[in-house]
Amino acid sequence: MFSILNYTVEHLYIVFIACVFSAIIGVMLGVIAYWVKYLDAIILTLADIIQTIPSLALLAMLMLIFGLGNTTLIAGLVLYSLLPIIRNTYTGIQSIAPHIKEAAIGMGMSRWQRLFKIELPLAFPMIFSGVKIATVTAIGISVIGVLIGAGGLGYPIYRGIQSHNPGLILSGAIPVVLLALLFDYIMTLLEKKITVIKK
Amino acid sequence: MIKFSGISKSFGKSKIIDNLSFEVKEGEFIVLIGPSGCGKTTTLKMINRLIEPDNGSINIEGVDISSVDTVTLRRKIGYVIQQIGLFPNMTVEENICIVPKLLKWEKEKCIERTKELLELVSMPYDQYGKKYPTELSGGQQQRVGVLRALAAQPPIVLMDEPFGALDPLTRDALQDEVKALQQKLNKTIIFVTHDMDEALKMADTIIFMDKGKILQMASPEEMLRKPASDIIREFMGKRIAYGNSQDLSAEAFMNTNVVKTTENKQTFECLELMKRKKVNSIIVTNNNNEFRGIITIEDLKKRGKIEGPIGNIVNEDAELIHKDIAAKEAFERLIETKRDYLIVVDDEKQIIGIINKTSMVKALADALWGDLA
Ligand SMILES: Nc1ncnc2c1ncn2[C@@H]1O[C@H](COP(=O)(O)OP(=O)(O)OP(=O)(O)O)[C@@H](O)[C@H]1O
Ligand SMILES: [Mg+2]
Repeated sequence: MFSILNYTVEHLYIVFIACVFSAIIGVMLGVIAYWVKYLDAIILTLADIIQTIPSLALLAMLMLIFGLGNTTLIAGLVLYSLLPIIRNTYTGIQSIAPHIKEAAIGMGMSRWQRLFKIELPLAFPMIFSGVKIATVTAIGISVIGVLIGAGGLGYPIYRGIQSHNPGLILSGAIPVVLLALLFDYIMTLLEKKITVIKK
Repeated sequence: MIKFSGISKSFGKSKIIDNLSFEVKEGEFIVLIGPSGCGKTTTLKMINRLIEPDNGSINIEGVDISSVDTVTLRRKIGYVIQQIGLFPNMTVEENICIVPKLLKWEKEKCIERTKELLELVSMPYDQYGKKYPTELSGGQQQRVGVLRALAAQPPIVLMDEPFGALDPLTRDALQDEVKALQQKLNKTIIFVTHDMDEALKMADTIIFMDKGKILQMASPEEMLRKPASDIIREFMGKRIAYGNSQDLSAEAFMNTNVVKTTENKQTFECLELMKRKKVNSIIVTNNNNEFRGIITIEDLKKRGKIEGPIGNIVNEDAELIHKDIAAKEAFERLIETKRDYLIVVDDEKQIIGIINKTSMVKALADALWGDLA
């Protein structure tokens, strides 16, 4: 029982690190896509393509660079989570009413001031919902990290499969499902709260 | 204060602004008006460089604005738009304080300023300062929009149809407030509107645009009295008529179909003329079309003889008025003197028409029912 708790903590830790990185990188790329007109299609298409690569194949490729272990898994999760975050950042800013942007420009706010004072705050609910999708997906996907030598709840599941031990499998699988459901629930609540405030 | 010199702008192939030149004085309230798509917004946005002209230059206080950094320029020019554009993620106070904060005012000074401004439009700070825009009515939102533009005390404020979306009562109230603020704070305001009533009410000077050009730049009174083209007259619509009794001159109502003759005409010819025109009185002029006198059928009957030139027997007792005196005054004179008509002359003493009871009826009808005649 103690070890399951350990695996769970490690699992969450991996997902957390991955989501922090992908949120930072994803928002930056989303903003660049918004700022630089001709880059938006390229960035969004790339993120799209990455997501269509089967997760195992992606991890295998990354393993060639980062070797076995958690780093590879985190890198894979980051890449995998980028798309919803980039896309939501981009469309979140893009869909702010033009007259609000015009007012901000007309008042003499610089590009960065507009970004931090107006655009990111107004796009925040949407960005957050992108992060939610990324997090919940990452909780599920990181299970296969065990195949490239990473830790987390994938480990007991993998061991259970190898030793034909259904109990062991479930001891890993159930926490994964519960975690995914729990995070989805909590973050949906937060999302609603944010949206209400911003209204 | 603001000077446009030969400004042109095209979007694609179509020329939207065509060699525009005009000058705005400090403290002046300028209203840009004209049909939709004539280039009002484009003109306005060139002042804060949201749009750059293709040709020509715009100077503000003698400085060519194309040489000024856009961010610096815009912080000195207030900007109010029809859709208001308050930032929904900020409170009323935060919205008002945007430009002061950008200019690094101290926090206390920002709060002071917000209180002072909200006071001006009777929205107490304690009640409204911490509210979000969505918690305000449309009229209150636009008030905040105007205050936000005024917050950093810019010498110039641009307003693009700021009251277009408000109900008539609120609009009227806001017009009064803005006009009062402008006079109190001595701002130079460029105000765009579709609405001639609004233009006449607010403007020191109206610029009427059509197809990217200025058709007329004049005070409201002058534009009412002498609209420079049919489009402007159409825009004025009933207001020309409405302005009649107060603002218009005698010339506007005179009857130009005057039966006149020269002094060397034979008397019997004049009698013929009066019969033919079915009038009982005729105006006699000298050869320069200047007034000599009048003669009536009764005068002629009394005299009994109709030989000789009419100039010998004219009656010089008549009432002459200048064409520019107010119509109202002319009507009063007509009633007081109990004459059939007053003779209207221009600067060169030329007779150009008469004011009679028919003129009064026409003025009355116009005021009641609009431009009948
Ligand atoms: N960015 C743009 N690209 C292309 N055409 C434009 C652009 N901005 C304005 N136009 C065109 O320029 C013309 C003048 O536009 P402008 O907005 O200045 O008119 P306006 O006088 O303000 O009209 P309205 O009273 O309807 O607001 C219009 O025909 C419009 O379609
Ligand atoms: Mg416009």
